[in-house]
Amino acid sequence: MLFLEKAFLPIFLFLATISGLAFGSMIPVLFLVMPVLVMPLLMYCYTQVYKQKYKALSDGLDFDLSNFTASAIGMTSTVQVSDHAGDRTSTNLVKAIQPYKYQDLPIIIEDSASLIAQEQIANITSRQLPEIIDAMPSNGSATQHFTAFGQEHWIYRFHFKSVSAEFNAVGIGGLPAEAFAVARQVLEKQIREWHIAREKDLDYFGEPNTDILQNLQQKRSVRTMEQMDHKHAPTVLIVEDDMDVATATESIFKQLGCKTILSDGHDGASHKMSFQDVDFIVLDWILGDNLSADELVNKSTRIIDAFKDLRARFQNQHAKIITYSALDKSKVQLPDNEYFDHLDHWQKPVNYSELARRASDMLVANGY
Amino acid sequence: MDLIREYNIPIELKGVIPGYIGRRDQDITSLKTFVANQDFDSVSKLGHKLKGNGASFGFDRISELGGLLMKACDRYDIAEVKSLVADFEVEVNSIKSAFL
Repeated sequence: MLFLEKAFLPIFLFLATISGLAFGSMIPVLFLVMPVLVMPLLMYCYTQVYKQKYKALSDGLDFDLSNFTASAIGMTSTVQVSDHAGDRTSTNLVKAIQPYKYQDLPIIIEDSASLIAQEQIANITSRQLPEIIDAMPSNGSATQHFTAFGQEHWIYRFHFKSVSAEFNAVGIGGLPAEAFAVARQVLEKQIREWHIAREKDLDYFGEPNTDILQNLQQKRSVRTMEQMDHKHAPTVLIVEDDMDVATATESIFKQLGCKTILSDGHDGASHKMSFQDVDFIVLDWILGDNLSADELVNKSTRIIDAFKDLRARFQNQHAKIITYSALDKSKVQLPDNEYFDHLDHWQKPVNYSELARRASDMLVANGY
Repeated sequence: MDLIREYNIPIELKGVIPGYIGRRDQDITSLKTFVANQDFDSVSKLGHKLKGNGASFGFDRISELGGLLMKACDRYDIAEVKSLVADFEVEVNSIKSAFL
């Protein structure tokens, strides 16, 4: 088809010219009129083939032109069946397709799923997911899968592909809404990264966070915050020079069952980052007049480098940093570091309920 | 006069609101001093702080004014800064009348 597309115009001009020279006036007129009549049909077939090809590629399937039949040109919707690697068998799958404005967006749910779960899936599909997809490129196709895993987990998979960008996310939770919330956090991060790539005129590929599935395989259990006992509660170090923001942030993490440590950045924050056994660090970027977060991370890194036991501990488990600043993410660049991971950036202002949602999603996404 | 408005204050933070308002009172004094000295750098830093903390407590207007102060300072627009400081004072007084 690609050959035809490129060759059509030169061949047409060549034949029209030759025939015009050879046969007089009538035949060239036919050469002009016939393509005009046939062109719309050719273009329609051509676009349908490519539409199917992109759909197949976006779904990770091979596209074979020989399998492309007239039925594919019609308006039939495609049903996709997810891999079902859970405890339950895949024999009782109920496939429900809801119309979606971007593409056919199949939802696959277990017939034994609870009513609450089904309501959540419907709500996600009709209200929450469109908000996410609206922020993505306009000419792409999206698929989502909900899969029940064992008795107490849901896995959510999302994939979106357009010509210049691809987004992938996986979420796990006790309910579909929790699983979606995890994936949503990943997708929001990918959308922010895509905007940066787009400004540089680059294609974007959002890496799927499939490592989260390994956690599920290992633990076979994801605790909800209500079930989380104090012994397993993550420790969150909040480095913030504005005591009002620190108070609000601390209040949220305490409600989520975390242990919290506060620092204004000037009271030995680098020592707390190094010596305290912290899982997450919420780090304000500008800490007063003479200190920024990247300097603090560099200082902490030097401290860790100096102690063998600290090196071993941090190499084994990186502390995860969430930068939290009124500055745009493009102005917040943590240096590459072997002890700390830059998990996310939260841009102020963030209201209390939104901050609580992000904190909760972040904890769930990291297996707490 | 509709001075008392509904604020979306998280119930967990209601106990710390008086302290928050007290610190904003101090900010008004500071801002007026900075404006008198045409100290745009200090106004901008305080605006940055307000932008960050207002919404955390449900005071979205304070965050908005903080952001606007930063932008006005970038333009060295002293008239705009004065106007925004006045708006900030009105907002803080409005919150005070609602909570104290």
